[in-house]
Amino acid sequence: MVEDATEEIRTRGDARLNLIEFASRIAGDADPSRAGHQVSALYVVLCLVVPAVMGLFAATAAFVLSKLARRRSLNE
Amino acid sequence: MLEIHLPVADTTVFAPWVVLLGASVGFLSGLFGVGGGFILTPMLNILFGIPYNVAAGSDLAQMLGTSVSATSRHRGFGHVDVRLGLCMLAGAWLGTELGARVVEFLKIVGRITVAGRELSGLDLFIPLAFLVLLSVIGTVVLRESLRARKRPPRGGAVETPIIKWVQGIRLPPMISLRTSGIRISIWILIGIGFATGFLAGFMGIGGGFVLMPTLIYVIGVPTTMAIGTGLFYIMFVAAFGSYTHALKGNVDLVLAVLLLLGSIFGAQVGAWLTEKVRGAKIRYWFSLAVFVSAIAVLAKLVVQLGVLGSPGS
Repeated sequence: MVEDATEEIRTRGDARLNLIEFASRIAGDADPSRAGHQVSALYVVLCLVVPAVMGLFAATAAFVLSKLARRRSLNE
Repeated sequence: MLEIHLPVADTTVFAPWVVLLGASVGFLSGLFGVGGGFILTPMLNILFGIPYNVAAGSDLAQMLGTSVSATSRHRGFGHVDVRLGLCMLAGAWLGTELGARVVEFLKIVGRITVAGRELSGLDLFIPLAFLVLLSVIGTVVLRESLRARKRPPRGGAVETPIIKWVQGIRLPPMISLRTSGIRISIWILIGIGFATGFLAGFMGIGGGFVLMPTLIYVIGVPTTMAIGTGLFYIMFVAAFGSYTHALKGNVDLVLAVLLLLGSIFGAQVGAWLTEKVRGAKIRYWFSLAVFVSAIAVLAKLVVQLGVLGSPGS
């Protein structure tokens, strides 16, 4: 199944090649080229985890940067 | 090279434009305590031709990341009333699911003829709902903020007859919100949560652009506290909305990630700015952003209906 999905996506050309599509294809039942399709559980989980992790990353980065800026201003 | 195909929306977009749109919306999100869906959903449809159901679902996914990013910043400033947010969430779950089901119904309702033009139910009712809400909220907030800029309210909280009436309702159980400095019936908070949750599911918005003015003008929460608490609430609504839309195949994760690349950093800048600007000025800017979005939705509807004789898109 993995080989079929890889081959199909490769033959369509790289403009439509992406990891999310690949993930949902190998997870089983999805046809991601259509809106309103039946999606896999993996895709649903990714829709929640990816944005939350990106948000946490930005918040942590901002926190660390503000701490560094405060420390630098105190040193000066 | 920078053109990316969106698998669910089935369209190709120029990635930097999408990231830039995400950054602008993230900035507004951090500054106004809104998810940004009231601007982003119509803009995705107007600028990139993404169907409303996919724009709404993907919007909620990016909103999840943006609200996580901005809430943590506001919590650091002490702008989040956790008890207030959790009470509203109790009503939001049912409202969000109901809104998403109405979108599903509109998908199958077929095409509707208006002024001789055929439109799908989604393309007609969602923009109309946006237009009415944006116009009403923009007008109310603009009028109040202009008055408040001349005569600022004491203690940061706005005073209106509605606030006195709502806070006077003694329907038990009552809850004391010490962080916001008010005491109110828990049923009012659950009702507000239900209404904003419905908007989240139906229109692909976190409900923040309704929640922020509601907290300020109906409950009497200070502006900066309304912004932080609104974002805290939106974080949960967006997670649930994203989940239910993903199940229905309405979330394009590639689109959501592109938007997030800009919005998570824009949100940090917007949140930082709330510490530097007065509440009345923030509300004035908010009303202008609402009007810009209303004009964009109206322009799209006018073109679609061919009212001015231009070809339908």
